[in-house]
Amino acid sequence: MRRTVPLILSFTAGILMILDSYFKIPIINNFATDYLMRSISVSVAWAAGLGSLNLIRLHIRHISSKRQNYQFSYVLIGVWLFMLTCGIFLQGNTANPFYQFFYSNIQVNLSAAVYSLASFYLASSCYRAFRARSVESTVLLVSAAIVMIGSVPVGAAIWSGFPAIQGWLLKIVNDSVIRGWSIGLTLGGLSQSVRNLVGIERGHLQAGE
Amino acid sequence: MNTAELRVTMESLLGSWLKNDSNRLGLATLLYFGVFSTVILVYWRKATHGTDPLPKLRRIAGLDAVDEAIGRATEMGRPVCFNPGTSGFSAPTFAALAVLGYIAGQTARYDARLLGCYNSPQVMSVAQSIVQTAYIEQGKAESFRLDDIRYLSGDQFGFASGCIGVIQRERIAAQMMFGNFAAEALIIAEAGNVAGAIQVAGQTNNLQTPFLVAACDYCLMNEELYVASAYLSKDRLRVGMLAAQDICRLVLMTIMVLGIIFESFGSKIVSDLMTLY
Repeated sequence: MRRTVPLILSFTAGILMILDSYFKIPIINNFATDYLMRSISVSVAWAAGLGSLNLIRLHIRHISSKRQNYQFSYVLIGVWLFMLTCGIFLQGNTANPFYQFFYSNIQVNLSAAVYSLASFYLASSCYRAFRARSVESTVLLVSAAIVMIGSVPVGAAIWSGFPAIQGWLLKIVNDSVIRGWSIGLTLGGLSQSVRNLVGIERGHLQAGE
Repeated sequence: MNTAELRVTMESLLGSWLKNDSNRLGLATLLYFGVFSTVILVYWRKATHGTDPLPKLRRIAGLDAVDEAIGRATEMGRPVCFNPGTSGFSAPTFAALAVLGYIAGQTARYDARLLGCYNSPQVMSVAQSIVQTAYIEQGKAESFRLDDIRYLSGDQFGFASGCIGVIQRERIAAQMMFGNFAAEALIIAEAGNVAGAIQVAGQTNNLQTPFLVAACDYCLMNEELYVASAYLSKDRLRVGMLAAQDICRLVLMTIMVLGIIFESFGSKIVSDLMTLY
């Protein structure tokens, strides 16, 4: 029962969405738009509540058991409560200028700061990866060096052939591999979807079989 | 009848039934979906009722490394961290959750601690259920810790910084990155590397694959993620599905080769048929 009901529900919803995608059948098109798509929004809203509860419960436990760095949990809960209150009670909700001030000046900047870390991590991972330990890694090293040199003006100044080789590597070699991958991924995704639809893949319902 | 006349005939026959909108869903994709589903069902029947041996799966080093990584974490007495990336429910996430079931079973068996970092509360809820069930199946229900399955943030980089915190505070010994990752992939993988964790990654974003190849010890190449559950479980039914998938791939490759040949000789018959409606 625990498996059968979700399987029936997912199969029915999946078939309806497929019919809605391909065919002009007003009753199904309307049902998919009015009911199924809205039910996704409702479930996302409920799940957001669940996620918040999980987060807050975890941090309350951090505080109550005084785990290492538990002081930061006070900050998290305080900020969460503050933004939640502003988002719910201020006029215009999340569009309110007061809410937007904190969002634009704290949240966006913090996100940008974390994103900027990627450039340093990229350098350190490339340093490890670009070592000529085998034939494959040597090919990677040489091609990466050519692409890097060909991408900067000094590359063309050293030898005019660098940009041409870089372009060939990116447009011919790289693009053809990426397209091959894309076809494989589409087929794999389709296969996964059909497996989920007909209930062969049940990993998301219960571990093991 | 040439393709232009065929197009008019098809439109008159299916015009009132078949959608032909900006989603580019048309007859070709519908036919392909039909053929694909039929082949899958044939192999489903063959796998469940037949006794014919199914094709052997080639070795995938990244998936073999999953057990090695869990074993290492067990020996070191440090946790394994599972990370499904920043996507909600999508095909890669379903594939990742199937792998999570296997990983949870193994960690329960070896008494290793399994942490989970989640960006989507929906995925987190399902993951809690999967891990709990795996622990119960292994007879280790008392070892399951609900607090180890953590929702960190819905924001991409808030999630990434949360993962860095978990990885460093918990001093993880192994990290499993299966799912759909974007720009946060490298940040998380490098944090795992700094913590000295053995890392296995499998994701479907072409743009992130080079970063994960560079940063992780083992990396599944794109669609290998979709075969992970069949490979790890060795389940006859799932392996049969992979065989069906390969047959469909062969059909698609044949169409592409025919298209290349016909286009090279100036005929557009294949491309016209593929974009008929």
